[in-house]
Amino acid sequence: MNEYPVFVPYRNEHLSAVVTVPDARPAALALLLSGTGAPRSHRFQLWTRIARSLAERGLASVRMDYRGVGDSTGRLLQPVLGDQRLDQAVTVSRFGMEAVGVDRVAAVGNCSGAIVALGVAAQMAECEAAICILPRLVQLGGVNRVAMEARKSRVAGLLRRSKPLRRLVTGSLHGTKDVPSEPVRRSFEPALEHARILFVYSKDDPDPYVGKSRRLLVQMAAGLPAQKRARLEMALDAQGPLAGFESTSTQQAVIDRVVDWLQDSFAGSASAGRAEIA
Amino acid sequence: MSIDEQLLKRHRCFEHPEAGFREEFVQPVLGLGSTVGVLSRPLGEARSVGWVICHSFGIEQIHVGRLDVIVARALSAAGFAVFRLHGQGYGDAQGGMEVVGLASHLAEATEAVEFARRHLEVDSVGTLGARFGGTVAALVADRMDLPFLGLWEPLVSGTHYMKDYLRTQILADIVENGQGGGAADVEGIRKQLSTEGWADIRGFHLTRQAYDDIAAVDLVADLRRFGGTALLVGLSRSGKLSKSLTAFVGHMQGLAAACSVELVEDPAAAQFGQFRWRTVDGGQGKRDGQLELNEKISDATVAWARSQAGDSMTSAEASP
Repeated sequence: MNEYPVFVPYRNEHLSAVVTVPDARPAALALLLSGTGAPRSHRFQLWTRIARSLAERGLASVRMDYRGVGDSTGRLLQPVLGDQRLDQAVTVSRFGMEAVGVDRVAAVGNCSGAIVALGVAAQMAECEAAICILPRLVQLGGVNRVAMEARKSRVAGLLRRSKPLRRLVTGSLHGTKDVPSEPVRRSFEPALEHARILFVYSKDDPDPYVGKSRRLLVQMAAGLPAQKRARLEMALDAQGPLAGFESTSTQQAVIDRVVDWLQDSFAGSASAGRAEIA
Repeated sequence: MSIDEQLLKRHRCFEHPEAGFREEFVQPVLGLGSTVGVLSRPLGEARSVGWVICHSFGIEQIHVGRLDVIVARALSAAGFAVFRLHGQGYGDAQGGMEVVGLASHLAEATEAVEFARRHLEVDSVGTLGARFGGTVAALVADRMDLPFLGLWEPLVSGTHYMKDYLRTQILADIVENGQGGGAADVEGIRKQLSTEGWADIRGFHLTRQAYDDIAAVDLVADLRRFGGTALLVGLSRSGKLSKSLTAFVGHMQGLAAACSVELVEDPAAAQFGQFRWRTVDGGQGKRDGQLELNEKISDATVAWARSQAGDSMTSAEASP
């Protein structure tokens, strides 16, 4: 295995990345995308570890820093999903494919990086698979946004301590209709035209977005034609919360799932443990 | 198709003419394995002093890592060569978290200074670092008799640092499970460190050796002979330097070091070293709560470096 740190030109900036290449000729390339603010290796070297495990299975990878993050150039104060992160990811992906000499690619991301990964799958016809770990899929309405802003306030503390109040408020929030956010709406069906997509969540993540996203995913799946629905999978991990990958057992579970699933995807076989959306 | 090594090698470096620096990825062996580092150099005239930036410990390496990049580029734009790196157990390094400890940080920083001496084409090398990285920078500067040292809110007491570090796990348990929070829980982690040799602290593999060694650090006692020129950047919301840093500055002056103190006031000062992305717009966006603070620290550091370590230029770099 060899690793090549590079600066990929992007407009008038340079995006830092590390290309990991197996000893044998790689079968495909995996693009590894972090959530907001995390560098290319991710917390606890998670992407670095995944890159090396993929190399042991004959797959190359490229892990990248967005503009203004890690060793990339640029100044980033308040990133939003529309700030060309998808464009940056596609640029680095194409560089990686050219460098390692493959025409097959997959994208893996967590949190906001998962939305970018979905976008890569939609935008690149060469993208055969994507893994979206803990993405927030919903576009929150006004009431929910206020609730999210108030999560750390005294009022929220009062609600957490009072079961009747909590039930009243969460019932109201659950009652609101959820719709996919604009980037999700734009990428979801186009990605499933040609790519196998795995959404990974955990029952243990306390973020209210998680439950909403899982419910919305089931709704969105129900509206898909059979061919696209067959490419969509959801896994519910049970090793603990996925947010921040804040346990060593969660990290190992994520590594195992990503590596096994990508190898399976590029091998083109049906997975024994495949969890399709009901 | 095959691997295009020429393409990959061509992209190891870039130049930023507007800002006045160039950067190059390097892959030296530091400590127990190979790793990835970045050499930043000025495009114009180069000064005779180069710098090694020592990164912080555990998850803090990520939370304050962008500061290292911002300072490296600002210093290079001002004429200084800078080397920053990932220690073993961090980022792109070969080794995993289980090898991280005070000993690994000190050994890698020492080797990084030697690497910088060989590759930066400078007459002398100084060390820089934030939080625990500052502690490492100070210890290495002391042991290697380095002439320059820059510290950004360094940790003076390892005991306090490790106590706070264990508390982060306790707080996470309270938030996630509504359980724990007492002194008994901290004692439980200590017991686990003792019996199993390591503990999972919010995803970080903390070994007993690392805990014991870091907890034993006391910069006031451990800095014994530093006689160079130092900058201490203290961060505050109130305009006052902490008691521990005040005592540390007094100790440095007692060692005959020339120590400048720069107090940076910023609303985010208390969160320095913590997760810095604040949720905004009702959860639809995030904002870097530390970027402006990082830029203030960088400005203070570059101004000090220019005034204290910037007089002479290396003759080799006098040409474009």
